[in-house]
Amino acid sequence: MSQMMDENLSREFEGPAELSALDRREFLRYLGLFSSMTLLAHCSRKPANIIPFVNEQKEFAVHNYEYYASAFPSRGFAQGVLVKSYQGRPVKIEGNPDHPWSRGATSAQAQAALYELYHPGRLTTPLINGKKAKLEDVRGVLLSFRPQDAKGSDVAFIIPALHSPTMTELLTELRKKYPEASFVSPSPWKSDSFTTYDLEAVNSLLTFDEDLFSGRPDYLILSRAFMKRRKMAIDTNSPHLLNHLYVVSSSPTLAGAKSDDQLFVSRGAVWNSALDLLDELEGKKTSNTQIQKWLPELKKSGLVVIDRSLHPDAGALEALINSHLGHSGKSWDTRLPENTTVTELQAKMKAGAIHTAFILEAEFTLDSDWQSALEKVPVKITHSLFPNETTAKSTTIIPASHWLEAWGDIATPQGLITIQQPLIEPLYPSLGIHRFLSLLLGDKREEQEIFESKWRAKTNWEEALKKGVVSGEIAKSTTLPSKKIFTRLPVSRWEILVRPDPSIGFGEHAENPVLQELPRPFTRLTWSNALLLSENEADHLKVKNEDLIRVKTENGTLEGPVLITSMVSDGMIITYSGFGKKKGTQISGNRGFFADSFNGAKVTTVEKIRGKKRFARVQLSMHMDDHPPVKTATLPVMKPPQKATPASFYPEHPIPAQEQGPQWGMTIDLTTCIGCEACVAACQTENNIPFVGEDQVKKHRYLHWLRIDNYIDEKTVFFQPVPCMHCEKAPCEVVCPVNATVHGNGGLNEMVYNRCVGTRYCSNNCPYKVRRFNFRSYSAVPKPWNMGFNPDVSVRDRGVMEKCTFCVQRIKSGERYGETVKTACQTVCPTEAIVFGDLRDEKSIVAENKKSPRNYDLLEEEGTRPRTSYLKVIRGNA
Amino acid sequence: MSSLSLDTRLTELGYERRWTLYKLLVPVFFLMSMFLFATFILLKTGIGVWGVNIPVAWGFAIINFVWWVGIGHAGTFISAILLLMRQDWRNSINRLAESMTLFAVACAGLFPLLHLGRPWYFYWLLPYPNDMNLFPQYRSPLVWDAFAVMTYASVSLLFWYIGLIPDLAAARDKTKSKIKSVIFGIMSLGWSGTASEWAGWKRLTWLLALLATPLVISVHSIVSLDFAVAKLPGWHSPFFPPYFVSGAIYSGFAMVIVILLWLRKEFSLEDLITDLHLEKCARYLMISGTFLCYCYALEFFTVWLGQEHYEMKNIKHEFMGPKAVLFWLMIFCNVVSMQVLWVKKWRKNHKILFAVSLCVLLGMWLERYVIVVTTLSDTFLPAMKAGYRGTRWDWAILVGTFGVFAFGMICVLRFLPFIPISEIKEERHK
Repeated sequence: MSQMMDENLSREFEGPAELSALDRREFLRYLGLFSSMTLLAHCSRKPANIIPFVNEQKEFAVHNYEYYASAFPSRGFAQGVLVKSYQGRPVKIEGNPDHPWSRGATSAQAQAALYELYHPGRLTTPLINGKKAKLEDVRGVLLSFRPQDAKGSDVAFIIPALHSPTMTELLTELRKKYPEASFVSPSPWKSDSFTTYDLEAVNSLLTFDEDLFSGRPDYLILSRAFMKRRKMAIDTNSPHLLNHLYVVSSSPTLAGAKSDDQLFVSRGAVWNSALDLLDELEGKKTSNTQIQKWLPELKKSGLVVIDRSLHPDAGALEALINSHLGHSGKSWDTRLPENTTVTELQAKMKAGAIHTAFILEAEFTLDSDWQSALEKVPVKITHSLFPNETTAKSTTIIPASHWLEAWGDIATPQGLITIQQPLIEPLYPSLGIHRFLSLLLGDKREEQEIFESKWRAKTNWEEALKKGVVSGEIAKSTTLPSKKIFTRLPVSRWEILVRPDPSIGFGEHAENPVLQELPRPFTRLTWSNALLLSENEADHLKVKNEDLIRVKTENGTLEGPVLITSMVSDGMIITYSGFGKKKGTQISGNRGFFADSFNGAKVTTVEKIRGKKRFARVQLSMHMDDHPPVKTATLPVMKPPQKATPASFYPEHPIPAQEQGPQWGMTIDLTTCIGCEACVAACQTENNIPFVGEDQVKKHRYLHWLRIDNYIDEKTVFFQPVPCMHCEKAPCEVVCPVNATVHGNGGLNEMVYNRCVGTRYCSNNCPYKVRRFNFRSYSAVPKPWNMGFNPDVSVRDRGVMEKCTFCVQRIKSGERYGETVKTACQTVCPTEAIVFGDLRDEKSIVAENKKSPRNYDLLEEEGTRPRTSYLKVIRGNA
Repeated sequence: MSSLSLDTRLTELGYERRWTLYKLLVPVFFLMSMFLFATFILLKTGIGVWGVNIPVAWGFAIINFVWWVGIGHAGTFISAILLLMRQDWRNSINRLAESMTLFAVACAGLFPLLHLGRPWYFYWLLPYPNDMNLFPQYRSPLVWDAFAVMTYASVSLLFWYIGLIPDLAAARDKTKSKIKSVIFGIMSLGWSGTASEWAGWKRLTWLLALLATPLVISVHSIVSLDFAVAKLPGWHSPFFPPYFVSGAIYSGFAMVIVILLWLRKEFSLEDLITDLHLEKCARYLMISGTFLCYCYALEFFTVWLGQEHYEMKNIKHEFMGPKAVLFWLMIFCNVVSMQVLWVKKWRKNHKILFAVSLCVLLGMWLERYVIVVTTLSDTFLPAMKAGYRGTRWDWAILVGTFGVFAFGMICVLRFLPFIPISEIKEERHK
């Protein structure tokens, strides 16, 4: 037993026994070794600071951007833009401040244009007689084109409604060369004249079905002028200076949303109300009480605008009414070099009289009339950016250059020419429209030569390129036809009206995923269209939102899902065009339904059918309860009584020294916001916010950092853009477990993407719900869409939270170069509703706005102390 | 029955009834592979496969987490608090309850990880030295949560294991299998049953019980703070901790009752898991349930008393909104069904007790669903309201964890002495 114990003990104490075997010398040797090792470990170079890239200094600046003036074709007219270029590729589009039609702002469509340029679904290879070809072969085909009939009677040119002086010249020459050829434009926006208005001078404005604040190529300056005048009245606190806007409309319009009073009637009744107004002005009594109510205000320097598509005599009626009121628009001749009409050409085609068709505007030849007519044309030479039904039929396809790849010159109706400079070499073998036409004329010159030789002779070419505008070119003004007797329209039980989609237009932007996903005003619908019905009619048909109905018309049967709104009158069916393409890319293909050919068609029956289609809507509830997020005021506005700061156990923190720099803040004027969504598109392109697709929008996962909440109270509409509020007491910061959202020195609520693990607690605790989450790998967009990404903004991966940063990259760049900082949403806003700046700077507009009696914080009672605040809505008298 | 035969019986129970357990493995493996597959899809695609959205950024993962943690409460409650209160009747069921706790907490622990947008960075929630000098943000309840759940899980595991040592030694001594005797031998840490070992063991279990007792209260209190700290109507309430703890114990006892009733029947343990045990459990179910009812009443009463706009709106949304059916079903399960237990005859009817317990388990899951989804889907700004619906992957993972839980329990039942031998002996001795 004791032996075993000894063994155990010796095993137990083996270690110390060995240690004691170490003699003195060996011990000292080890000691020396270990101490010198310890010392050596501490020998290193003196620590030096390296400068992290995020706080980049001027001399280290890596991103050198260049800006070029160019022109965005907006419904055939020029919107002057500045394109930001990085290493030879365009990365952002801004408005050209020198351009009279943009004044630094742009439309959402211009903002999103890069998504068309870098679209992976573009036509990439020329096709000649069904075989893949090179660009040289295409040039040869065009140069050697000889029609069977030398005068060209069997040739048709289907031309775009683009107001380019050079294109007009080329077409005129072509008409000389082939005097019997047909020239026609299928474009839905072509018109003989275009009327412009000076809204700043107008005291009261009445529109009949015309949306002055959306869709029109000059909506940027119209809304700016109108709001400038309204702001002047507000700034001077004088109610008598307030301008008035009244709207009689059959469909919801942005002008109606901003109006002081609007009336929804059927399409026919809109025309009849305009006639009522004329009668009233001519001293005849009518039963139209609404018009009578507005009349006194209208008589004080008023203006009336009537939608030209309402009636063939609309222009004449407008001119006559305005002659009574004192104001009028200015009309400009905008006729295209056409020599026939669409129906005539289609008849010719169907009769087999056309052998060759040059389809230069394929996207508007998708309806059944065009398609069946084109069937009969043996040779179709199509020039298009994207595949569609017509390119699918064509044996010869010449890919078109995007407007950022080609030279051009685009006019405003007043005749100001904007040079369209290419920002990038064509990504694929393609031709611009001017080059296409000049090759047909046997002109072998390059595009640039065509334009340079033309404009150098007339103006200072370099200056024109720098400024983007060529002055001195006078367009022909015209007068609206005059007429005295007008006929009234019958009002039928049902009327169907197809409006251009507020975002993708007539379909010209259907391939643009950003615009497809841009929420439409009033419906908040994305990626598809719907049939808008009034509540009464929906009750009558026993349908709910998303139920399908069938509308039988003289032009065929239309089936689609119902969307109920208070913004249409009974008996009206409103829908939007641009959808229902069958042979487009994945972006446009089979979205919504094709409605274009049903506009104004006689409706025989409307009935509910089985089935549902789920909408991808970003906002489901548009009703404000008794705690309205949008506040209104009337002039004169009084300063609300100062609220006492609630008692707190915790004293306010003193501002630390490093917080002495600028303190950023934003105000959003809800009076002037017209809800055009341009800021949303601007934010999306500036901040590399990917689109998520229809299915993900259905699941409420859209990524827009800035959204425009729409609230509808019967006929009154409020728009409220909601970016991150950058709360001083941000609820999101407290709950993040990993410090991924923190407060910055400038008062910014910052998001550290790299640190985010994706608990989504911050989003839960955000009362404004402005945080967005990458539920999937949304940023992995197909190439080459990523080429349009802003190099200054990181691309967020799956599982990361993101939100509005107040464009922190612009703040950093502004601080570095000492420039005024403007956020992307602010820059693009046509009415300057969004103002951003340093709150410490007493002279800044934002600091002034914050002192305004109209200023209020959203959800003030939550005590978050947001840096973004709102200015209350002020309307004129109803 | 001699103590020796009790030893043999209890250590061999799992072997004797192995076919009962093996039969169960078929559905259990099905559920587990469903869980694994769903998790694979989840990690591959991202949490976009779930139904979560903005504003409802938390969904099934959080609901399931809170539910499983809640179930994990009864075990430690029974073994620690009842031990301190010298409720000796608990002896024959405490091992089962503790095992249940362990696997419930393990299932619960999976969810916060899977819930993350980037689960591979879960360790950022823990303080560990790193070259960026970045520590967790200690104001966030999620960090407290990580600590609370991990502490609870480790103390529960320790408590369960320490309690198991003498029985593992008994199993080691009884088994005829070589492998088993080696494994049990290692696991029992050389337990030889001397008086000093018993005394030390006893002291240690008491100490651990003292340590575990505040944890029973703290863990669900802290889980409740995930909600209560957020300033959302329906979440921002000071009484959330007791509310959640009572709910947790409620669901925990319901799960204990379900398992005991099943086990007693399948393993013929009427002499060990007696009517008395079930009666006591039913009483605890009633106590915690009644307290929960009080909390419900308190919640609605304080909102009514405060008349705060958004709180009132939230309550209305809860009572009459699109998900009101779930709310009323929850009230039925948690409040109404439990009332039958007031009648002694019904309480002693095991079929009724079983049904009520299942109701409570469903009701407690619905409660978390209502808390999470109702509040989040009804936002301050009317424009951001949106609905929520779990997808098939949400369901697959929830149902899959039943398989994970069941598998753990089956392993315990098959291989370990799940009725504490020593404590039964001790109780018999008395």
